[in-house]
Amino acid sequence: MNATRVTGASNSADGFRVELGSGTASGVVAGGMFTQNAVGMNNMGGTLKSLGDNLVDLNGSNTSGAISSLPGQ
Amino acid sequence: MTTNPLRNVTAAALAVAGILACGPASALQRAFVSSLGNDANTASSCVLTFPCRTFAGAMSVIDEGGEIIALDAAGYAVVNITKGVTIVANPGFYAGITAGGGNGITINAPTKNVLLKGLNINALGGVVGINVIAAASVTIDNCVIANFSGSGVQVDAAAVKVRISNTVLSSNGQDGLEVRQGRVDVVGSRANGNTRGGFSAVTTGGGAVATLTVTDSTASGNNYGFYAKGDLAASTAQIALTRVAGTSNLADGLRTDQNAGATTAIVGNSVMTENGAYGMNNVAGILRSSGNNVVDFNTTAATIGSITVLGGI
Repeated sequence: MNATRVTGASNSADGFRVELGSGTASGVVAGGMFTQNAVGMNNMGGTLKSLGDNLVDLNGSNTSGAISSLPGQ
Repeated sequence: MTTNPLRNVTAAALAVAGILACGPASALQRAFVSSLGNDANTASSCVLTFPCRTFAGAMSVIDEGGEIIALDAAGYAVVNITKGVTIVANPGFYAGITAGGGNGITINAPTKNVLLKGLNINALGGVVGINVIAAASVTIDNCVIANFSGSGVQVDAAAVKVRISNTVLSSNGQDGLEVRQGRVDVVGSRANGNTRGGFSAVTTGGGAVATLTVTDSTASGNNYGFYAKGDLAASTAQIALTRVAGTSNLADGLRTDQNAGATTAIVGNSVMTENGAYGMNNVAGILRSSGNNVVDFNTTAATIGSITVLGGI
């Protein structure tokens, strides 16, 4: 899933979640705001790339799991 | 020659009503209101062919989880919501509530989900447009709420989640949106010309937690465009803003303050300009900025108070 300029707020679990099941799971997120969630951005075994410009604060935990940097071009 | 479509259905409706009157009432999923309705039709459960005149009339017969539907342009009077219901007016006509005193809509429905769509809620002496006292969730979409002596929408319920979208909050005597406690998310809305804040999270009770997120919205002509204040002891006010504009407000585009409580605000990708004092004013509390906000053309200065940079992730 690719998400740009989105807001994930006030969710009981995650603002943005990538979760690997039996297949592959990947997400790219840019320009988003994730706030007031249990976890702002959560990668559970998949691939989560960020442009590094997301506003992520005031969550129980702002991030969980590996988040790799995706440079802008 | 034109004919009133409601008259056309009258004969058939009378027959239906006769049938309805004979049997016990079943679960009522939908109740209807119309400019030609009559609240005496509660006896017929405000069905499509015998609509009620007011939302309150329909509320008295609708079942839990049901829908109240406005059929045509009219004022439908103030209503107290005590059940989990939807009140909807579909696009294309005016469905109004005028409050001569008190509140336009009062929601006191603990653990219930309420949805309001397409309503014009106006005050001619009214105090609060939509007063959320208790609910599990409240969704407000495509409404106009104006001219109340208090706030357009007031949320004062600890456990509630309120979502507001595509809504105008205008010319109210306190805030456009006032979150005293509870959790509110706003998207695509405008707050204009309100006496205090356009969108505010200001605690009024000890221990209260007021959280407010605003996305893709504008606040102009208020005293403060966006306002957060943890006022009373052990209370917390938090506000998160992205892609908002706080412009042409009398004082500040964004103002954070705290008294005995705590305040935290974050803001990014936003514009704070043409305000009478500051673009961003941190009187007290924590204000974090992603550093990509446009803050200029404010009368006194761009910012005042401590603002820390919040790095992106």
